[in-house]
Amino acid sequence: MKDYLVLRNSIIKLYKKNEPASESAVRFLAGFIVFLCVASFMPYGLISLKTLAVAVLGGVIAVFATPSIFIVSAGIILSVCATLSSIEAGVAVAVFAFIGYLMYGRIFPKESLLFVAMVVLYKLRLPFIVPLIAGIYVGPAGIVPVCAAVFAVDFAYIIRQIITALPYSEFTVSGILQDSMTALKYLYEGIMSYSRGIIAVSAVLAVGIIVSWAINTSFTDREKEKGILSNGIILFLGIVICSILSYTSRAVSFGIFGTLISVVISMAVCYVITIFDCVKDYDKTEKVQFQDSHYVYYVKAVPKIEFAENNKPKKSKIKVEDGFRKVKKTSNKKSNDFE
Amino acid sequence: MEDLKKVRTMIHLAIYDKRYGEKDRRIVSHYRHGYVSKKNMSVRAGIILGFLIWECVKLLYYMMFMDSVFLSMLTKEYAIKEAVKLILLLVVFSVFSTVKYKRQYDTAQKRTDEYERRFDKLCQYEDNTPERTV
Repeated sequence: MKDYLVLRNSIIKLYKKNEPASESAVRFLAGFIVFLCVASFMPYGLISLKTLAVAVLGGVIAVFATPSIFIVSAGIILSVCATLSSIEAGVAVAVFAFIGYLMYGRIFPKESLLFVAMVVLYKLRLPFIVPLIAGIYVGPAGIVPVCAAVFAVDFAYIIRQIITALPYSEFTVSGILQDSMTALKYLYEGIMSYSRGIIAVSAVLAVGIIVSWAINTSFTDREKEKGILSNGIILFLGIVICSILSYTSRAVSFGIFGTLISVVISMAVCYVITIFDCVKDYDKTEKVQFQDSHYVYYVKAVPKIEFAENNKPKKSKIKVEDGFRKVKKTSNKKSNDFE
Repeated sequence: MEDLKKVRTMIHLAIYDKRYGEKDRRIVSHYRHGYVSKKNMSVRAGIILGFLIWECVKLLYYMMFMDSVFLSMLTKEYAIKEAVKLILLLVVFSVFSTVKYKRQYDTAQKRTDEYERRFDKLCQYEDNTPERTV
Protein backbone atom coordinates (compact mmCIF):
# COMPACT_ATOMS: atom_id res chain seq x y z
CA MET A 1 0.00 0.00 0.00
CA LYS A 2 2.79 2.38 0.90
CA ASP A 3 4.54 1.78 -2.41
CA TYR A 4 1.27 2.32 -4.18
CA LEU A 5 0.70 5.62 -2.42
CA VAL A 6 4.23 6.76 -3.21
CA LEU A 7 3.56 5.88 -6.86
CA ARG A 8 0.31 7.84 -6.68
CA ASN A 9 2.10 10.85 -5.24
CA SER A 10 4.76 10.75 -7.93
CA ILE A 11 2.11 10.48 -10.70
CA ILE A 12 0.14 13.39 -9.24
CA LYS A 13 3.36 15.37 -8.91
CA LEU A 14 4.30 14.62 -12.51
CA TYR A 15 0.82 15.64 -13.66
CA LYS A 16 0.91 18.88 -11.70
CA LYS A 17 4.43 19.69 -12.83
CA ASN A 18 3.26 19.78 -16.44
CA GLU A 19 -0.39 20.57 -15.70
CA PRO A 20 -1.38 22.56 -18.81
CA ALA A 21 0.30 20.08 -21.15
CA SER A 22 -1.00 17.01 -19.22
CA GLU A 23 -4.55 18.37 -19.14
CA SER A 24 -4.49 19.10 -22.86
CA ALA A 25 -3.09 15.63 -23.56
CA VAL A 26 -5.80 13.93 -21.46
CA ARG A 27 -8.54 16.01 -23.12
CA PHE A 28 -7.15 15.30 -26.57
CA LEU A 29 -7.04 11.56 -25.87
CA ALA A 30 -10.62 11.56 -24.53
CA GLY A 31 -11.88 13.53 -27.55
CA PHE A 32 -9.92 11.29 -29.91
CA ILE A 33 -11.49 8.11 -28.46
CA VAL A 34 -15.03 9.57 -28.46
CA PHE A 35 -14.78 10.71 -32.08
CA LEU A 36 -13.18 7.39 -33.07
CA CYS A 37 -16.40 5.73 -31.81
CA VAL A 38 -18.42 8.36 -33.71
CA ALA A 39 -16.39 7.73 -36.88
CA SER A 40 -17.13 4.00 -36.65
CA PHE A 41 -20.51 4.88 -38.24
CA MET A 42 -18.72 5.91 -41.43
CA PRO A 43 -18.48 3.30 -44.18
CA TYR A 44 -14.67 3.42 -44.30
CA GLY A 45 -13.82 1.15 -41.36
CA LEU A 46 -11.80 2.02 -38.28
CA ILE A 47 -8.41 1.99 -39.98
CA SER A 48 -8.59 4.69 -42.60
CA LEU A 49 -7.31 8.20 -43.07
CA LYS A 50 -10.80 9.73 -42.96
CA THR A 51 -11.64 7.99 -39.68
CA LEU A 52 -8.35 9.17 -38.24
CA ALA A 53 -9.04 12.71 -39.42
CA VAL A 54 -12.43 12.73 -37.64
CA ALA A 55 -10.84 11.36 -34.46
CA VAL A 56 -8.09 14.01 -34.53
CA LEU A 57 -10.74 16.70 -35.09
CA GLY A 58 -12.53 15.39 -31.98
CA GLY A 59 -9.30 15.59 -29.99
CA VAL A 60 -8.75 19.20 -31.08
CA ILE A 61 -12.34 20.16 -30.22
CA ALA A 62 -11.97 18.53 -26.79
CA VAL A 63 -8.81 20.57 -26.09
CA PHE A 64 -10.18 23.97 -27.08
CA ALA A 65 -13.96 23.80 -26.59
CA THR A 66 -16.27 23.78 -23.56
CA PRO A 67 -18.17 20.55 -22.68
CA SER A 68 -21.42 21.85 -24.23
CA ILE A 69 -19.72 22.68 -27.53
CA PHE A 70 -17.99 19.29 -27.49
CA ILE A 71 -21.32 17.49 -26.98
CA VAL A 72 -23.02 19.48 -29.76
CA SER A 73 -20.08 18.86 -32.11
CA ALA A 74 -20.18 15.14 -31.34
CA GLY A 75 -23.91 15.07 -32.20
CA ILE A 76 -23.39 16.95 -35.49
CA ILE A 77 -20.38 14.85 -36.54
CA LEU A 78 -22.25 11.67 -35.61
CA SER A 79 -25.16 12.71 -37.87
CA VAL A 80 -22.75 13.45 -40.72
CA CYS A 81 -20.91 10.13 -40.27
CA ALA A 82 -24.19 8.18 -40.20
CA THR A 83 -25.39 10.08 -43.30
CA LEU A 84 -22.29 8.91 -45.18
CA SER A 85 -23.44 5.33 -44.54
CA SER A 86 -27.20 5.86 -44.90
CA ILE A 87 -29.10 9.10 -45.38
CA GLU A 88 -32.12 7.86 -43.40
CA ALA A 89 -29.89 6.81 -40.51
CA GLY A 90 -28.24 10.23 -40.56
CA VAL A 91 -31.59 11.99 -40.34
CA ALA A 92 -32.71 9.70 -37.49
CA VAL A 93 -29.48 10.41 -35.57
CA ALA A 94 -29.86 14.16 -36.15
CA VAL A 95 -33.46 14.14 -34.87
CA PHE A 96 -32.61 12.17 -31.72
CA ALA A 97 -29.41 14.12 -31.06
CA PHE A 98 -31.51 17.30 -31.26
CA ILE A 99 -34.10 15.88 -28.84
CA GLY A 100 -31.30 14.81 -26.48
CA TYR A 101 -29.77 18.27 -26.64
CA LEU A 102 -33.11 19.99 -26.02
CA MET A 103 -34.09 17.76 -23.13
CA TYR A 104 -30.77 17.34 -21.35
CA GLY A 105 -27.53 18.46 -23.03
CA ARG A 106 -28.16 22.18 -22.80
CA ILE A 107 -29.34 22.03 -19.16
CA PHE A 108 -26.54 19.84 -17.79
CA PRO A 109 -23.62 20.12 -20.24
CA LYS A 110 -20.94 18.98 -17.77
CA GLU A 111 -22.87 15.94 -16.56
CA SER A 112 -23.46 15.01 -20.21
CA LEU A 113 -19.80 14.01 -20.34
CA LEU A 114 -20.83 10.99 -18.23
CA PHE A 115 -23.08 9.99 -21.10
CA VAL A 116 -20.19 10.13 -23.55
CA ALA A 117 -17.90 8.26 -21.15
CA MET A 118 -20.41 5.45 -20.64
CA VAL A 119 -20.98 4.97 -24.37
CA VAL A 120 -17.21 4.79 -24.93
CA LEU A 121 -16.62 2.44 -21.99
CA TYR A 122 -19.34 0.16 -23.33
CA LYS A 123 -16.94 -0.58 -26.19
CA LEU A 124 -14.44 -1.82 -23.58
CA ARG A 125 -17.18 -3.82 -21.85
CA LEU A 126 -16.72 -1.68 -18.72
CA PRO A 127 -19.78 0.62 -18.71
CA PHE A 128 -20.31 0.09 -14.95
CA ILE A 129 -17.40 2.40 -14.15
CA VAL A 130 -19.61 5.41 -14.95
CA PRO A 131 -22.54 4.66 -12.58
CA LEU A 132 -20.01 3.77 -9.87
CA ILE A 133 -18.17 7.08 -10.34
CA ALA A 134 -21.48 8.97 -10.63
CA GLY A 135 -22.60 7.51 -7.28
CA ILE A 136 -19.45 8.76 -5.57
CA TYR A 137 -18.76 12.12 -7.22
CA VAL A 138 -21.88 13.36 -9.04
CA GLY A 139 -24.97 12.14 -7.18
CA PRO A 140 -28.54 12.12 -8.53
CA ALA A 141 -27.61 14.54 -11.36
CA GLY A 142 -25.70 11.62 -12.89
CA ILE A 143 -28.80 9.44 -13.25
CA VAL A 144 -30.13 11.00 -16.46
CA PRO A 145 -26.90 10.86 -18.52
CA VAL A 146 -26.27 7.27 -17.41
CA CYS A 147 -29.82 6.23 -18.40
CA ALA A 148 -29.51 8.18 -21.66
CA ALA A 149 -26.33 6.22 -22.41
CA VAL A 150 -28.22 2.93 -21.96
CA PHE A 151 -30.74 4.20 -24.52
CA ALA A 152 -27.96 5.39 -26.85
CA VAL A 153 -26.30 1.95 -26.99
CA ASP A 154 -29.58 0.32 -28.06
CA PHE A 155 -30.27 3.22 -30.40
CA ALA A 156 -26.85 2.74 -32.02
CA TYR A 157 -27.78 -0.88 -32.70
CA ILE A 158 -31.03 0.25 -34.38
CA ILE A 159 -29.06 2.77 -36.46
CA ARG A 160 -26.70 0.03 -37.59
CA GLN A 161 -29.74 -2.02 -38.66
CA ILE A 162 -31.01 0.95 -40.69
CA ILE A 163 -27.55 1.37 -42.26
CA THR A 164 -27.52 -2.31 -43.26
CA ALA A 165 -31.07 -2.20 -44.65
CA LEU A 166 -30.82 1.16 -46.40
CA PRO A 167 -27.21 1.84 -47.42
CA TYR A 168 -26.19 5.10 -49.05
CA SER A 169 -25.23 3.27 -52.27
CA GLU A 170 -28.85 2.22 -52.81
CA PHE A 171 -30.29 5.66 -52.20
CA THR A 172 -32.48 7.04 -54.98
CA VAL A 173 -34.47 10.26 -55.00
CA SER A 174 -37.56 8.49 -56.34
CA GLY A 175 -37.52 5.99 -53.47
CA ILE A 176 -36.92 8.54 -50.73
CA LEU A 177 -40.44 8.37 -49.31
CA GLN A 178 -40.53 4.59 -49.14
CA ASP A 179 -37.02 4.39 -47.65
CA SER A 180 -37.91 7.01 -45.04
CA MET A 181 -40.95 4.98 -44.03
CA THR A 182 -38.82 1.82 -43.75
CA ALA A 183 -36.33 3.71 -41.56
CA LEU A 184 -39.20 5.02 -39.44
CA LYS A 185 -40.47 1.48 -38.99
CA TYR A 186 -37.05 0.19 -37.89
CA LEU A 187 -36.67 3.14 -35.56
CA TYR A 188 -40.03 3.06 -33.82
CA GLU A 189 -40.33 -0.72 -33.57
CA GLY A 190 -36.72 -0.98 -32.40
CA ILE A 191 -37.18 1.62 -29.67
CA MET A 192 -40.46 0.07 -28.53
CA SER A 193 -38.97 -3.44 -28.41
CA TYR A 194 -36.02 -2.25 -26.28
CA SER A 195 -37.99 0.19 -24.14
CA ARG A 196 -38.81 -2.26 -21.32
CA GLY A 197 -35.20 -3.38 -21.03
CA ILE A 198 -33.96 0.22 -21.16
CA ILE A 199 -36.38 1.26 -18.39
CA ALA A 200 -35.54 -1.75 -16.18
CA VAL A 201 -31.76 -1.34 -16.54
CA SER A 202 -32.05 2.44 -16.05
CA ALA A 203 -33.99 1.84 -12.83
CA VAL A 204 -31.24 -0.48 -11.54
CA LEU A 205 -28.53 2.06 -12.39
CA ALA A 206 -30.54 4.87 -10.78
CA VAL A 207 -31.04 2.88 -7.55
CA GLY A 208 -27.33 2.02 -7.46
CA ILE A 209 -26.33 5.67 -7.91
CA ILE A 210 -28.75 6.92 -5.23
CA VAL A 211 -27.70 4.27 -2.66
CA SER A 212 -24.02 4.91 -3.32
CA TRP A 213 -24.52 8.68 -3.07
CA ALA A 214 -26.52 8.32 0.16
CA ILE A 215 -23.77 6.21 1.75
CA ASN A 216 -21.04 8.52 0.48
CA THR A 217 -22.70 11.60 1.97
CA SER A 218 -23.32 9.95 5.35
CA PHE A 219 -20.78 10.36 8.15
CA THR A 220 -19.59 6.77 8.24
CA ASP A 221 -16.09 5.42 8.05
CA ARG A 222 -14.84 4.26 4.64
CA GLU A 223 -17.88 5.81 2.98
CA LYS A 224 -16.41 5.69 -0.52
CA GLU A 225 -15.46 2.03 -0.28
CA LYS A 226 -18.91 1.16 1.12
CA GLY A 227 -20.56 3.23 -1.61
CA ILE A 228 -18.62 1.45 -4.36
CA LEU A 229 -19.30 -1.99 -2.83
CA SER A 230 -23.04 -1.41 -2.37
CA ASN A 231 -23.41 0.09 -5.84
CA GLY A 232 -21.48 -2.84 -7.33
CA ILE A 233 -23.69 -5.39 -5.57
CA ILE A 234 -26.88 -3.58 -6.65
CA LEU A 235 -25.64 -3.35 -10.23
CA PHE A 236 -24.70 -7.02 -10.43
CA LEU A 237 -27.88 -8.36 -8.78
CA GLY A 238 -30.12 -5.92 -10.64
CA ILE A 239 -28.65 -6.68 -14.04
CA VAL A 240 -28.81 -10.44 -13.41
CA ILE A 241 -32.46 -10.20 -12.34
CA CYS A 242 -33.23 -8.06 -15.42
CA SER A 243 -31.51 -10.67 -17.62
CA ILE A 244 -33.52 -13.49 -16.04
CA LEU A 245 -36.75 -11.55 -16.62
CA SER A 246 -35.58 -10.73 -20.19
CA TYR A 247 -35.73 -7.00 -19.45
CA THR A 248 -32.24 -6.17 -20.51
CA SER A 249 -30.40 -3.68 -22.63
CA ARG A 250 -27.44 -4.19 -24.97
CA ALA A 251 -25.53 -1.70 -22.85
CA VAL A 252 -25.18 -4.24 -20.03
CA SER A 253 -25.90 -7.64 -21.57
CA PHE A 254 -22.65 -9.51 -21.09
CA GLY A 255 -24.07 -12.72 -19.53
CA ILE A 256 -23.95 -13.48 -15.81
CA PHE A 257 -20.24 -14.29 -15.70
CA GLY A 258 -19.33 -11.41 -17.99
CA THR A 259 -21.38 -8.99 -15.89
CA LEU A 260 -19.66 -10.22 -12.72
CA ILE A 261 -16.19 -9.70 -14.22
CA SER A 262 -17.17 -6.32 -15.65
CA VAL A 263 -18.62 -5.12 -12.33
CA VAL A 264 -15.58 -6.34 -10.34
CA ILE A 265 -13.10 -4.67 -12.72
CA SER A 266 -15.20 -1.48 -12.71
CA MET A 267 -15.23 -1.48 -8.90
CA ALA A 268 -11.45 -1.90 -8.83
CA VAL A 269 -10.97 0.97 -11.30
CA CYS A 270 -13.33 3.15 -9.29
CA TYR A 271 -11.46 2.31 -6.07
CA VAL A 272 -8.15 3.29 -7.67
CA ILE A 273 -9.70 6.59 -8.77
CA THR A 274 -10.88 7.28 -5.20
CA ILE A 275 -7.37 6.56 -3.93
CA PHE A 276 -6.01 9.13 -6.37
CA ASP A 277 -8.55 11.55 -4.95
CA CYS A 278 -7.64 11.12 -1.29
CA VAL A 279 -6.61 8.41 1.19
CA LYS A 280 -7.83 8.69 4.77
CA ASP A 281 -6.42 7.13 7.90
CA TYR A 282 -9.52 5.94 9.75
CA ASP A 283 -7.47 4.51 12.64
CA LYS A 284 -6.59 8.06 13.68
CA THR A 285 -10.12 9.42 13.51
CA GLU A 286 -10.91 12.01 16.15
CA LYS A 287 -14.38 12.90 17.32
CA VAL A 288 -14.84 16.26 18.99
CA GLN A 289 -17.93 17.91 20.41
CA PHE A 290 -18.23 21.58 21.25
CA GLN A 291 -20.87 24.27 21.28
CA ASP A 292 -21.45 27.99 20.94
CA SER A 293 -24.55 30.00 21.83
CA HIS A 294 -26.55 28.74 18.83
CA TYR A 295 -25.26 25.30 17.85
CA VAL A 296 -23.74 22.10 19.15
CA TYR A 297 -21.02 20.89 16.79
CA TYR A 298 -20.19 17.20 16.36
CA VAL A 299 -16.92 17.12 14.49
CA LYS A 300 -15.30 14.03 13.06
CA ALA A 301 -11.79 14.63 11.81
CA VAL A 302 -10.16 11.98 9.65
CA PRO A 303 -6.52 12.65 8.77
CA LYS A 304 -5.30 12.13 5.22
CA ILE A 305 -2.44 9.72 4.68
CA GLU A 306 0.48 11.62 3.27
CA PHE A 307 3.87 10.17 2.54
CA ALA A 308 6.87 12.46 2.64
CA GLU A 309 8.95 12.42 -0.49
CA ASN A 310 12.34 10.81 -0.19
CA ASN A 311 14.20 14.05 -0.30
CA LYS A 312 17.88 13.78 -0.80
CA PRO A 313 19.80 15.55 1.91
CA LYS A 314 20.87 18.90 0.64
CA LYS A 315 24.48 19.77 0.67
CA SER A 316 25.27 22.72 2.83
CA LYS A 317 27.64 25.22 1.43
CA ILE A 318 30.37 25.67 4.00
CA LYS A 319 32.69 28.56 4.01
CA VAL A 320 35.63 28.81 6.28
CA GLU A 321 36.34 32.36 7.23
CA ASP A 322 38.73 33.46 9.91
CA GLY A 323 38.79 30.03 11.47
CA PHE A 324 35.02 30.01 12.05
CA ARG A 325 32.71 27.68 10.12
CA LYS A 326 29.85 29.61 8.66
CA VAL A 327 26.98 27.63 7.27
CA LYS A 328 24.82 29.05 4.52
CA LYS A 329 21.42 27.60 4.98
CA THR A 330 19.67 26.51 1.83
CA SER A 331 15.99 27.23 1.98
CA ASN A 332 13.14 25.89 -0.10
CA LYS A 333 10.99 28.83 0.73
CA LYS A 334 10.44 31.06 -2.25
CA SER A 335 8.95 34.46 -2.16
CA ASN A 336 5.35 33.43 -2.35
CA ASP A 337 3.61 36.70 -1.87
CA PHE A 338 1.04 36.20 -4.59
CA GLU A 339 -0.39 32.99 -3.13
CA MET B 1 4.38 46.69 0.65
CA GLU B 2 1.24 48.69 -0.01
CA ASP B 3 1.94 48.51 -3.73
CA LEU B 4 2.26 44.74 -3.51
CA LYS B 5 -1.19 44.47 -1.93
CA LYS B 6 -2.57 46.66 -4.68
CA VAL B 7 -0.98 44.51 -7.36
CA ARG B 8 -2.36 41.38 -5.69
CA THR B 9 -5.88 42.83 -5.64
CA MET B 10 -5.57 43.85 -9.27
CA ILE B 11 -4.47 40.32 -10.20
CA HIS B 12 -7.52 38.84 -8.46
CA LEU B 13 -9.80 41.28 -10.27
CA ALA B 14 -8.19 40.54 -13.62
CA ILE B 15 -8.47 36.76 -13.10
CA TYR B 16 -12.14 37.12 -12.18
CA ASP B 17 -12.81 39.31 -15.21
CA LYS B 18 -11.12 36.82 -17.51
CA ARG B 19 -12.79 33.69 -16.11
CA TYR B 20 -16.27 34.62 -14.97
CA GLY B 21 -16.77 38.36 -15.34
CA GLU B 22 -18.93 38.60 -18.43
CA LYS B 23 -21.02 35.51 -17.64
CA ASP B 24 -21.61 36.48 -14.01
CA ARG B 25 -22.60 40.04 -14.87
CA ARG B 26 -25.09 38.74 -17.38
CA ILE B 27 -26.63 36.50 -14.71
CA VAL B 28 -26.78 39.01 -11.87
CA SER B 29 -28.21 41.72 -14.11
CA HIS B 30 -31.55 39.93 -13.54
CA TYR B 31 -33.42 39.45 -10.28
CA ARG B 32 -32.98 35.92 -8.90
CA HIS B 33 -36.60 34.95 -9.42
CA GLY B 34 -36.65 36.50 -12.89
CA TYR B 35 -33.47 34.71 -13.95
CA VAL B 36 -34.69 31.31 -12.73
CA SER B 37 -38.12 31.83 -14.35
CA LYS B 38 -36.56 32.84 -17.66
CA LYS B 39 -34.31 29.79 -17.67
CA ASN B 40 -37.18 27.52 -16.64
CA MET B 41 -39.29 28.84 -19.51
CA SER B 42 -36.49 28.07 -21.93
CA VAL B 43 -36.10 24.54 -20.51
CA ARG B 44 -39.86 23.94 -20.72
CA ALA B 45 -39.94 25.16 -24.32
CA GLY B 46 -37.19 22.68 -25.13
CA ILE B 47 -39.03 19.83 -23.40
CA ILE B 48 -42.28 20.62 -25.22
CA LEU B 49 -40.45 20.79 -28.56
CA GLY B 50 -38.64 17.48 -27.92
CA PHE B 51 -41.86 15.83 -26.83
CA LEU B 52 -43.72 17.09 -29.91
CA ILE B 53 -40.99 15.77 -32.24
CA TRP B 54 -41.27 12.34 -30.58
CA GLU B 55 -45.08 12.47 -30.87
CA CYS B 56 -44.76 13.31 -34.58
CA VAL B 57 -42.46 10.30 -35.12
CA LYS B 58 -44.92 8.09 -33.23
CA LEU B 59 -48.02 9.35 -35.06
CA LEU B 60 -46.28 9.12 -38.43
CA TYR B 61 -45.42 5.50 -37.70
CA TYR B 62 -49.02 4.67 -36.75
CA MET B 63 -50.33 6.61 -39.74
CA MET B 64 -48.12 4.73 -42.19
CA PHE B 65 -48.02 1.22 -40.81
CA MET B 66 -51.02 0.83 -38.51
CA ASP B 67 -53.65 3.07 -40.06
CA SER B 68 -56.52 1.22 -38.39
CA VAL B 69 -54.98 1.85 -34.95
CA PHE B 70 -54.09 5.40 -35.94
CA LEU B 71 -57.70 6.38 -36.52
CA SER B 72 -58.84 4.85 -33.25
CA MET B 73 -55.94 6.58 -31.47
CA LEU B 74 -57.16 10.06 -32.26
CA THR B 75 -59.45 10.33 -29.28
CA LYS B 76 -59.78 12.63 -26.29
CA GLU B 77 -58.40 9.89 -23.99
CA TYR B 78 -55.21 9.61 -26.04
CA ALA B 79 -54.72 13.37 -25.97
CA ILE B 80 -55.25 13.45 -22.19
CA LYS B 81 -52.84 10.54 -21.67
CA GLU B 82 -50.11 12.25 -23.68
CA ALA B 83 -50.78 15.59 -21.99
CA VAL B 84 -50.34 13.93 -18.58
CA LYS B 85 -47.01 12.49 -19.75
CA LEU B 86 -45.91 15.92 -20.94
CA ILE B 87 -46.94 17.61 -17.69
CA LEU B 88 -45.08 14.99 -15.70
CA LEU B 89 -41.96 15.59 -17.78
CA LEU B 90 -42.33 19.36 -17.35
CA VAL B 91 -42.67 19.03 -13.57
CA VAL B 92 -39.58 16.81 -13.27
CA PHE B 93 -37.46 19.03 -15.49
CA SER B 94 -38.72 22.19 -13.80
CA VAL B 95 -37.53 20.85 -10.44
CA PHE B 96 -34.11 19.94 -11.87
CA SER B 97 -33.65 23.25 -13.66
CA THR B 98 -34.91 25.36 -10.73
CA VAL B 99 -32.35 23.77 -8.41
CA LYS B 100 -29.59 24.14 -10.98
CA TYR B 101 -30.24 27.76 -11.97
CA LYS B 102 -30.85 28.93 -8.38
CA ARG B 103 -27.49 27.48 -7.46
CA GLN B 104 -25.89 29.08 -10.52
CA TYR B 105 -27.33 32.49 -9.64
CA ASP B 106 -26.18 32.25 -6.02
CA THR B 107 -22.66 31.30 -7.06
CA ALA B 108 -22.50 34.17 -9.56
CA GLN B 109 -23.85 36.58 -6.94
CA LYS B 110 -21.27 35.44 -4.40
CA ARG B 111 -18.43 35.87 -6.87
CA THR B 112 -19.68 39.30 -7.94
CA ASP B 113 -19.94 40.46 -4.30
CA GLU B 114 -16.38 39.31 -3.70
CA TYR B 115 -15.29 41.17 -6.85
CA GLU B 116 -16.96 44.36 -5.65
CA ARG B 117 -15.37 44.03 -2.23
CA ARG B 118 -11.94 43.71 -3.80
CA PHE B 119 -12.67 46.58 -6.16
CA ASP B 120 -13.58 48.84 -3.22
CA LYS B 121 -10.32 47.83 -1.58
CA LEU B 122 -8.44 48.78 -4.72
CA CYS B 123 -10.18 52.14 -4.78
CA GLN B 124 -9.08 52.68 -1.18
CA TYR B 125 -5.46 51.93 -2.13
CA GLU B 126 -5.79 54.39 -5.00
CA ASP B 127 -7.13 57.10 -2.67
CA ASN B 128 -4.38 56.54 -0.13
CA THR B 129 -1.54 56.55 -2.64
CA PRO B 130 0.25 59.88 -2.65
CA GLU B 131 0.44 61.52 -6.04
CA ARG B 132 3.79 61.17 -7.75
CA THR B 133 5.46 64.26 -8.99
CA VAL B 134 7.81 64.15 -11.94
